[in-house]
Amino acid sequence: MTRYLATIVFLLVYTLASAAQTNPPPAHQHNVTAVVDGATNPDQIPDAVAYRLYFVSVSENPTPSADEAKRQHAHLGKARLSETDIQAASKVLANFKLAYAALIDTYNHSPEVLNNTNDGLSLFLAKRDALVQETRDALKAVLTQDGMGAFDTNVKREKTHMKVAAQEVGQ
Amino acid sequence: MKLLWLFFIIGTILLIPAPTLAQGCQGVMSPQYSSYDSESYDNTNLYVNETVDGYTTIGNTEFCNISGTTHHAWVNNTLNGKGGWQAGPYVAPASYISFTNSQFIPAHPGVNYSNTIQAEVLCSAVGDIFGTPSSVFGYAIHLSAYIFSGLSNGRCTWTPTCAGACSSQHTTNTNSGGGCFTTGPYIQCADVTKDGKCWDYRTICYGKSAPGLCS
Repeated sequence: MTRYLATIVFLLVYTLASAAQTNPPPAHQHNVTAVVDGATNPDQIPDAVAYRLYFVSVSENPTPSADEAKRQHAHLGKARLSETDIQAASKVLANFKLAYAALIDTYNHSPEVLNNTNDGLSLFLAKRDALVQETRDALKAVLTQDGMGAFDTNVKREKTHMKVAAQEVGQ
Repeated sequence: MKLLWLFFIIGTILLIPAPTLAQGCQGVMSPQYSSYDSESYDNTNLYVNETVDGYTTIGNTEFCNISGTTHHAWVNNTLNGKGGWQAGPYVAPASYISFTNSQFIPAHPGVNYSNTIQAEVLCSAVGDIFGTPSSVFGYAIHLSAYIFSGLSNGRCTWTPTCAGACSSQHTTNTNSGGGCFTTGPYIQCADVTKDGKCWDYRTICYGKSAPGLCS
């Protein structure tokens, strides 16, 4: 009788344990991204973040296609830049596009990222933000004073079209 | 009998899932993505860019198997039926993602153009980890026209010559030579409305020797 009960208990435990092993817990969880909506709170978006998103959106390669060149010309024209300033800004933005892509590519292929850690993130973000500042400085150096003023006004106006991760604005 | 109990104890220990013996998968990923939608018009084409840019922070994944998991941008920009969803590169979860979906269409004053935009980042393990709501807009091009009406406090003043949807008196900086226009004294401007409301004033303007049109 005891042997019979022990066998039943053993089979029961075996069945339950097997079921548990074939239904592993979820691989991981994702938190919801808290964002600052520039449409309602444009003042909460830092200029550095707005410049980065604007550079990412309007920059083109050094040798853009005809459509890419027209697209960039339209966006910079909307910023009220003169033709001379548009040509000067295009070169600075092309440098940004290449440097930004290279920075991301290097980071994404780093051992830290491939090992699924954020150990290199702080350094990467520092380099990213430095590149944005260098690009702003380069624009100041090549644009007319009026052109830089118009560019700055336009980037700040574009904040209303941005949604920025709260962590980027220190919240 | 003792042998059977021994098998029972050893078997029970071996069959208990490992995470319940130690700690379960507590891996938490925090997406930190931003999005930006920009539009412009150059008197011929309407351009719309939809950008997503950012990263995911990863914590407490020592009991999680995320090997082989990827993240990628998934961005919709459908401009009057043109374009659609585009995928960015599939990268490791800790990667930085930056992706723009750009579209353009020929656009003319008096015609409404629909635009659907949405920016997402997808995880191969759990699906959508970041997403802006799908937004449907109606863009239209309107005309406004102005005449130069003198300098005011060092700025150029422009007065509407007819009533357009986005007409309004405004000032501009002088150019580097201190002037206010290269031809004129009139200017013709194109404005962009979004869902019937003025969205971008005087997106493009050019000088004219005769009064311009309004719509």
